[in-house]
Amino acid sequence: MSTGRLEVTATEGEGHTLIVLRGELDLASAPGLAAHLDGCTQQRVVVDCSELGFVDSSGLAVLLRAAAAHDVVLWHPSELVVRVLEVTGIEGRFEVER
Amino acid sequence: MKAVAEFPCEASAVAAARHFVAAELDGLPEDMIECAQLLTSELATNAILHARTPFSVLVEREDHRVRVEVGDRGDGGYQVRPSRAVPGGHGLFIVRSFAYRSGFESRGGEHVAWFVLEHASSLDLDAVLERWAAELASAPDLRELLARTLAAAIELTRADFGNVQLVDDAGAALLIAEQRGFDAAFLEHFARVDADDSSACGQAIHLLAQVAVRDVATDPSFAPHLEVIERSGFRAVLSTPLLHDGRCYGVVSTHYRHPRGFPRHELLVVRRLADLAAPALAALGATPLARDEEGAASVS
Repeated sequence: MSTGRLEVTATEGEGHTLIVLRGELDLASAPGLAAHLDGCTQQRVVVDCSELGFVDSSGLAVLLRAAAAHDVVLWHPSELVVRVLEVTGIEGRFEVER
Repeated sequence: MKAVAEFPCEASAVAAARHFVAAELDGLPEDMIECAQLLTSELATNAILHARTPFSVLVEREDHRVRVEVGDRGDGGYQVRPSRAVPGGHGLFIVRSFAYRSGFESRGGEHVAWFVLEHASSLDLDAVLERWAAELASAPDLRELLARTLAAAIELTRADFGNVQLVDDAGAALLIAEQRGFDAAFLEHFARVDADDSSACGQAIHLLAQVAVRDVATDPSFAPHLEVIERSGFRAVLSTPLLHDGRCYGVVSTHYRHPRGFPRHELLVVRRLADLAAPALAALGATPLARDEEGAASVS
């Protein structure tokens, strides 16, 4: 499913849901991702950020909300995303795999 | 060079605004463009969500300096969310943390949020360091070495104040040996700093590593010092230990009036300055911090 400049692919894996993000996550594309995350039935959600070109605080807010209900793994986020997580003090809410 | 564009009050304008900024900054270092896009995105999002008006984006580019303004027709009533870890509201916090400078202005019915990014190229900083390396090597005595080390650190990072601390005779604590720009209250409060202190210099000797604090007002470890820090007027601080042969001879700290980010090459050039100053300090007979096994100060 494509929401604006973000393409979201969700796959049910063994013991986790895999969500692959391609494109840019911001105010316009965050609601589409939120809908996907709300539909996750597994406790563990792996978010593949390796092809995510951009994310700002609107995008992080959606991921943070998901992290309240699920164990969210951020897989291969960019260096800037990691720095944003550190600066805002929310890096502990996610499992980050670099 | 200056460019302005107008954007409508709709969610898709956030991407349009940051792409406009990126195009105007073409040719600058990638990490600087990436940062400008992130901060533009945050300010554009605020204009749409909070001011709820169309907005303008102005990009000013001059050598290694970039200024971006996002102007809306709202009343500017939104604020930085002071607490962390709450969904939403991180936008202005991110802007303050990553920008070299940032702020707000009201201008003829328009509310303008702005940020400045500066990117002294590493080549420029290398030339400055090379000049100071010669000055450090020719310093006639300890006092002059400290003065030149501090002046170099201030110039390299365009700091507003700074100090150099040396290790006391017992090898147990840091004492301010050279300073620029601090008031008496600050000098008294930080006259002696132990390795278990939560201040940036205390952390630097505890970790034996460089410590950069983008904004002391939002860093919980500074809470015990906040009153003194507020009066002395700095918001960001960089503390770099003076290490030589695995021993710590002191700390050089630089302080900034405004919250700011620290680009990696800037952190690196100050570490290289410290690498030049520390052996010179050792040669002039400065005392190193005692190690654990020597029974004096415990740095754990």
